[in-house]
Amino acid sequence: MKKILFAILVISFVFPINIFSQDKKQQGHTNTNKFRQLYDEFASPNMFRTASGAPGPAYYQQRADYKINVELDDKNKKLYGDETITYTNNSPETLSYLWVQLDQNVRKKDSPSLDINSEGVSVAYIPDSFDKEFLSDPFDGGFNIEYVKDIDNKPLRYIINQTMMRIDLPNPISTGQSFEFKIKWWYNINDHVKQDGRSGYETFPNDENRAYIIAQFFPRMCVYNEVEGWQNYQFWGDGEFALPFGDYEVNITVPSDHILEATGELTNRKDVYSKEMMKRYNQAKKSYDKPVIIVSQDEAIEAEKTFSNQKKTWKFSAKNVRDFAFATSRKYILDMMAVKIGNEDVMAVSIYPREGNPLWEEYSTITVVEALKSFSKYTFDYPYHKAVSVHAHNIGMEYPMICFNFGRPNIDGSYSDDVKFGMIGVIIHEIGHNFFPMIVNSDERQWAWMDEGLTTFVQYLAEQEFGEKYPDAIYPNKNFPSDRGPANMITDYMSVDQNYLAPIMSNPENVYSLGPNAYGKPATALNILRETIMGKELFDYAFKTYSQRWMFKHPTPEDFFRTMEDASAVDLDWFWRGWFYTTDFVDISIKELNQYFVSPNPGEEMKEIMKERGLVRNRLRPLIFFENFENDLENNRDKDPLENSKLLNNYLNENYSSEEISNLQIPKYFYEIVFEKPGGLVMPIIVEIKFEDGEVIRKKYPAQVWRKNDKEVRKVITSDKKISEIILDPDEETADVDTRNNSWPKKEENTDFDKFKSRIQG
Amino acid sequence: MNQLIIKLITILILVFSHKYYVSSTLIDYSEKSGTYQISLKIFHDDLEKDLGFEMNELDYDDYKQTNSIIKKYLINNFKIYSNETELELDFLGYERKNDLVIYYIEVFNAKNIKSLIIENKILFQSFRNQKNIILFRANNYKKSYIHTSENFQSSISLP
Repeated sequence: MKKILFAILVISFVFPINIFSQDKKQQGHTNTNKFRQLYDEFASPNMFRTASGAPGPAYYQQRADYKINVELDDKNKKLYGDETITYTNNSPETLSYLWVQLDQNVRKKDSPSLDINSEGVSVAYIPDSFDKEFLSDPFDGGFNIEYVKDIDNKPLRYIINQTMMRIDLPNPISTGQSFEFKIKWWYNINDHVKQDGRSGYETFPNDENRAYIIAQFFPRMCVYNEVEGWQNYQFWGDGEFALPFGDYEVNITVPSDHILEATGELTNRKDVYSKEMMKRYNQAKKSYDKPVIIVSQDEAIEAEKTFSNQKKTWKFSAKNVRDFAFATSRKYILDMMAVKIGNEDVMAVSIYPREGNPLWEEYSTITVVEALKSFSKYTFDYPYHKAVSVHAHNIGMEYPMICFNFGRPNIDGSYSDDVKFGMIGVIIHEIGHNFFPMIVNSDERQWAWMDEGLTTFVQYLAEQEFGEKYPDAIYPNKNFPSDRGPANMITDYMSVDQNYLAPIMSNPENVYSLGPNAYGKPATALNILRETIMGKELFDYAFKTYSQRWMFKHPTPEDFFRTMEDASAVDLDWFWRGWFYTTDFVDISIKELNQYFVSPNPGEEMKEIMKERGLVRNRLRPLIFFENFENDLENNRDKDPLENSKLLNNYLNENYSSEEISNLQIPKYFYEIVFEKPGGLVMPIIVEIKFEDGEVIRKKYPAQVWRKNDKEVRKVITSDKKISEIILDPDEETADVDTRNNSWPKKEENTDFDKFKSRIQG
Repeated sequence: MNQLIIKLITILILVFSHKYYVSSTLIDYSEKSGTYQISLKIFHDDLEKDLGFEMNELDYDDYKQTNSIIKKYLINNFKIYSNETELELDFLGYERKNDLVIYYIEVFNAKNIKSLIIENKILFQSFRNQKNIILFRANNYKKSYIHTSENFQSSISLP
């Protein structure tokens, strides 16, 4: 930097006219600095949401309470329901209509969702794809609405637009008022294995029994708030759900031989559990060290053999939840284990068909326990009384207190490590969703990353903690093999063709691949913030502050961004802008290393300047000269600098005592590292410097080093011993997409390819 | 090009965590050896499905057997041509990394190759929405392509 300044001064002195006499005047420009304030992207802070990222004094949220009765027709795979919704308007506005979500309609035969994607014909098909593609009739799904009535049974006017229903209120409801209304419906349940979906049934080929995982099964209130007004973005399939909080009373009628779990507290346990189950359940309430089997595999196998025509009604009560889901089958095995979270007992629950064993019995419930502990540690104590993990084939999906998870062993019960780690990972992830978005209730329809990214980030921490707690479970790995979180795992994605990338701040329907975009990249960004930019202490406090501020509320992206800065005093506008609002990637390189020493005579570069300016040595004021190693013809570089520069020697003698001089560390070698930044993202520069005697030091230059030159910066390292090697980003913590230019001297590239080749040939 | 982009606006992911139908292939020219070093990254379960195996049925620990199965598959589905001749590929072998199978292929005598056609048909049989990403790097020349089941060839002309 100094050198550049000096060069500019020299040039402007020698050729002053050139700068001001250009034919064409330079044009001005707006602020394009990577560190400029993020005001252009952020909504203005207001009384609802403050600039600190917290809910403001005028913050409000709507409320929806439900009383629901549903009945499962197991034979015909239909679900019948009626509900009473009490909607409370806490907004300062008066509402003249309500919007209700009808997510099942995404499966209607004429659903526009079916036509949203481009199609094409493949060169070849496997038979079952061919069948699905060209032979099968479209599934006859979607809600059949039987009535929409007010509490006095007067029909209400409504209109259905795709996956949403507007109900016109007879009288507008003003602030603080509630409106009660009733809906009756039924729908055909989809086969989630054959037709996909977040819920549905799976038929088991050997016994023709079904396991039902049922969600989005009732008309649910949309969110109304000061950010979006009424939610007006349809459910197309990718963007999940925005839902208000409320209390639920749900009665679920199923065949009497079913075992069922659901959101909320089971209020008639004694009616639906056998005496033996009650006994085991009471044991489980005090079992903090291992799961207690409530329904065993043998009992489940016995239940599979018959098909009861009797019915049983399971009654649930859930307070302050944003949704409700359940799972039911006569095939289910059930186990539970208590865990202390803060001062409260929470029940970790698993239900699974025997097809999940032996994997599920061994790992599901303990994984729920560890996930609850880890997520509570980084956010707030898990506030519900239970968390249920349900085994469903090929699905990972979350609802309050209950989630559906994949991970199925082979038919003979054997399973690979992949299946095991995939299952543990997905359980941690979906249990983690209780925190984001079930409690920290962001708008999934608009922003998938707010729940998926944050959950995947904490999932990574939780997986690592799971590995520490259960080293045998992850053996022979030393750490849990997480596939998202570490910086170097996102670089492949971030370096693909820019035409196929979208910023994280995109609606989930419009990104090219939601997995890396909404899960992997934001999780990595947060991990980098925590480990590399902010440090764990500042990050963890700010992250916890965000979680607790927005617990049981509806945060927006800005609320997150602002809180992270507000609680840490780390300005992150540049980080959010780069990582969340652009598709830029990280690529920093070592362009060159200029090596200097104190020389007795003017160095080559100095000589050139002297020549240009017509200066002679004896006319110069006294200067300490530097010379590049390359031009060290007289081999002066290893001599004492005081010997090479009499001037320096004299200066020291005049200004310091001899004792002080002997304590001075006078560097012999002066290294100027030139860093280049081909990538658009700004990152700290982390270098590991090895000296010829083996000593290794690390230097970390803050990201702000790039603020005045986005392309290239120089840094000086001085030392009394020679540098033998410099490695940029030695721990691969910055997500640098090209590490081939990260070392000096330039290393013979040792790519994964080279490593593999030498291994198989070795 | 526009049409390709529109085609890409498809659901690349199912509802759950890590499923999106993408493979990536890195083709790197190595100055040192004068060869193309190719690494194909494929999700193992996608590969198994396309090979006609049940989930987790393929035994990766039986390296010899599994390698010959994958190799045979790649010989049919991954090809490089130059001047209308099919280039000889050296299929080195595979390794597993998390949920990926990485297959390494080398093309010798690549120094004087000025134009080539990459044909990558992997996984299209089973996954119509499959996207195969190709990243090509030779010295300072860098280019990437996305292959779909309708468009699975790219021609590259080196400057």
